[in-house]
Amino acid sequence: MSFEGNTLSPRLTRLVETLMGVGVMGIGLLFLRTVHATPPPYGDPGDIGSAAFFPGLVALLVSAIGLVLTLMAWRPASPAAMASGRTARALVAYALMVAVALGLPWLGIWLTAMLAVPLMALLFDERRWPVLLALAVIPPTLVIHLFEGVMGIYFPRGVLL
Amino acid sequence: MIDLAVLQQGLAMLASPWTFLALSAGLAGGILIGALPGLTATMAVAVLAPFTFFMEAVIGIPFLLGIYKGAIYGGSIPAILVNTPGTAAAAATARDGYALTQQGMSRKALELSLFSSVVADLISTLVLIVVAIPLASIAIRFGSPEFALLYLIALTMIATVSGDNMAKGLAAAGLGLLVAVIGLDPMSGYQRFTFGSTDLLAGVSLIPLLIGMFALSEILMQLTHPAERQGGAEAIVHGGERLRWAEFWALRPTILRSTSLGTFLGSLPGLGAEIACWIAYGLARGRSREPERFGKGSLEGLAAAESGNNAVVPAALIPMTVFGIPGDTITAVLIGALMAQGMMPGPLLIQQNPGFLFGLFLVLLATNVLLLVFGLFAIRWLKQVTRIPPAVLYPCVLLLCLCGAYAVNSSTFDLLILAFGGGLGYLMRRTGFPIAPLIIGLLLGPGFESALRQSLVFSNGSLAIFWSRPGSLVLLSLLALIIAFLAWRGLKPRGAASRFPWSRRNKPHNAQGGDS
Amino acid sequence: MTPKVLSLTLLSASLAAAGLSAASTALADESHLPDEPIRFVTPYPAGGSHSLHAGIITAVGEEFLGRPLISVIRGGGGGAVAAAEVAGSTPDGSMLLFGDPTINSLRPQVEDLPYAMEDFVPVARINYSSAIFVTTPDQPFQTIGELVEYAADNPDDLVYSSDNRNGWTYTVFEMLKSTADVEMRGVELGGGGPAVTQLLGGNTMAYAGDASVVGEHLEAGTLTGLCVTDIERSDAYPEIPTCQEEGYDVVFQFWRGVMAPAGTPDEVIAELSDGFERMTQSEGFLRLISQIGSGIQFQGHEEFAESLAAEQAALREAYLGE
Repeated sequence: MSFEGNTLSPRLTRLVETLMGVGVMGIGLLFLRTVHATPPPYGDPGDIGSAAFFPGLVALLVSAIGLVLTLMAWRPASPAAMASGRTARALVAYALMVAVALGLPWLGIWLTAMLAVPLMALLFDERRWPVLLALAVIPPTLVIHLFEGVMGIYFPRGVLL
Repeated sequence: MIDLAVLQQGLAMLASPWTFLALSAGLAGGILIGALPGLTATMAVAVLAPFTFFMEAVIGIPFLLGIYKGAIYGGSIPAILVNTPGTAAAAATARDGYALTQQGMSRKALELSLFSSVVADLISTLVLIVVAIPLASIAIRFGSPEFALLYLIALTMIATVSGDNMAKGLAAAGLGLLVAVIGLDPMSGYQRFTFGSTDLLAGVSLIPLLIGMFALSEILMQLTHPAERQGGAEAIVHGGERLRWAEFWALRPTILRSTSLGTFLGSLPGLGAEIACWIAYGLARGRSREPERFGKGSLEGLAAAESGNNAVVPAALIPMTVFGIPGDTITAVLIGALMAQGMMPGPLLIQQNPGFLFGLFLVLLATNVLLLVFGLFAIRWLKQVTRIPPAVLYPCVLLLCLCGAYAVNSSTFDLLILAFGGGLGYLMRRTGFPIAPLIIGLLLGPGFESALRQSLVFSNGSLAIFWSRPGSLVLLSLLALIIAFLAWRGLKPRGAASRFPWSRRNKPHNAQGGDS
Repeated sequence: MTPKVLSLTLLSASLAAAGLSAASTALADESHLPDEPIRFVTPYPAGGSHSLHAGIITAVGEEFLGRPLISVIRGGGGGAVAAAEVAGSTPDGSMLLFGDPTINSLRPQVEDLPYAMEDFVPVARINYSSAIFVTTPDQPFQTIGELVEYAADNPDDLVYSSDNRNGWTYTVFEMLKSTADVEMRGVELGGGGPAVTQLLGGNTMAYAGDASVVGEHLEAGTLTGLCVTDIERSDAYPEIPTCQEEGYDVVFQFWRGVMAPAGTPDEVIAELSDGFERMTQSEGFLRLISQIGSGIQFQGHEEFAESLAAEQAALREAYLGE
């Protein structure tokens, strides 16, 4: 199954690479700032035995690599291309995942499961109502009983269900 | 070294038909649990162990061992079929296993995984029957400096799984190391990078993050790049051909190497299968004649990962039974269950009842045979999983992952980690950052840091401890050799590829292939 | 599939038992406990002595409390995460913490944790263990007095296995160091397992731990006991003197007990305490407990509250000088 899809334009690719490089550098700097704050919260970053040495060192390395990545994005030779795809749909799916993760404690496991499964199937272009209905009922029932009945792991019931 | 009388005692343990029944039941249950994405071997053992309190020893112990073995093997199934490691130890399996599935060779991958696992376990068990106790006395002398160096060696494996872009690989590894630092530091009592959040005190839970980064990102990638379905001559092969004997035989050196590695590492308390699989994988790639295939469906890579992590299972029983020391969570639970059966693992047990350890090994040997049978049977059905339409398969996978991530710690915060992992994994895969180094950093970071700091307490701050002890000196030289080797490999131009950033080879970062 | 049948059988058996006991409770007296399963939270990862005890308690507890007990194992932060969760839960008896002195008495007083000592009320103490100072037979000291002497003569030399900062082993060694006025270096190894490993391997020179961890080594002779941090000698190891006998006032009983969030009504606490008491007297429970090599030293909620308050005050004085 070889992939021959579209790739992003070189400019867009460069932009993404730059953003990622900056992002990595940013994370490194954030951690670095926390470690080197005054007063030093975890001990002296220079002392190998302290709680601050290892995080400080790694944060430094990550910041440096972030810088390297950003610079690499601007090499004259065009960087390795990135594939394009149906990103919008994936982002909607991700929003659903986040909603589920946040909503489970309030909605309870049954409601969440019975909504999430068919909604995700919808995103996969499944339109047949019987299938969606079956998906709303059968997998949640099986899975929840597996966890709660067999394994004894209970889920939050939520405010409603 | 082997006392026949002692072996006979062990054999007596197996004599009862109930033992086989319990073993089979445990094995079947374990495979099922391990095969469900989101459910891990640790969970299976931890949850089912209390049931064994009410069983007799001759039933309870084989049952637990069956579950343990079954779940560890079972974890490789979703790794291969849907790119979701069922246990942390199967993460390396997912790389090449899933690539093979995408190339229509899921049956070959499943069979290779099964055979490697069984062979590795068999060899490891047989070796251990002979050298268990001497090995244990060596293993116990491993102090923090040796562990620190071992972890460092394992960390260099990052270079081998970074693929074409070393810088991105290092960035991923660095991120993994940073995430691993988050939480309460047991040595100093400081809360590091918790940003005031109570839930982060425990750090970022590994399993939910792992599930998110592999499974959820896979779902998102499937949405982004839907598999092209073409009829006729290019129809997607479901299952594909079987593993040929010649192919398996050719993998002898890889399997033997990974097995010995796994056996040794497993006998060290604290290093688990999830670390051994990466070291075996990395080493196999280093020694391979086709390193560029690793990550794209290399049989060697798959065999190395699976034999590495399965060889750990019998070896991990050594510190447990010889010294009563749990090597990881699973063996800790096993010790508890054994104690509830009235058997206190430890030196006393070895003195009074030496047959016990060998009985365990014989049970493991029997388990392997059963595993082969069950596994082959299961594969017939499993390869049909690729037939399930994605619209049905992936939502169910999502549900399982959701429940599994929650179940690890009964924590709703872990669900957030799951979602975070999904987003992070997706972002990384789209932008060409390899995930494997992040996982390695996450797994090894804490161990390395603790070992380093403990060593410094031992030596009162002096770094000399890393070369003054004989064991450390050996490992330090090994580390230097490995680094030299990697540098040489990296500098040597091989065809169009060189692993340094200034390579001109362009390769789209897409749904499959390479290092995602 | 046998595990499922087995577990379904167990589940239906326990449901039946629940039904019966609920009925009998309804006949006898009105229960103050909420009508839902009780979550019994173990704050440490699975496999340790804590989760072992919790497993047994939750397996047999339903009969005596009238509600199913669900074992929740939530490790992390040395116990702080689970403790914070229980502290913030509804104080109606639906969520209980299986606590110990480091979580409930020591660390909240000396560390900045997301819960306070006062967030918990004691329900019942199940048992306690005392620490046994141990060393290997090849070390230059074989009594606690010799150890102290060695430490005094070689101040930078003695390295011992410790667990976590402000953990149990850590604390008893601090107590020893302060009463004996010597210096020793402790390596935080995280728990009993690695601690004993390093000791046996000759990397560290001493350790102090629970009988369940060091016991079989003592009997096998691979470890030597130095002294016990209790007020009287242990029944299982009567030849090991108490630290007090040897001249060092180190007493630390590591209890395991049930704690409820503050604000839980008194009737609920009394009922829970009662139920646990009857449980610890039952034959089935005692048999399981003895199988893991443990015992029962039960204290009901009032007695426990007294001893807990005393312990907390003593620790406050020792650490904060108040």
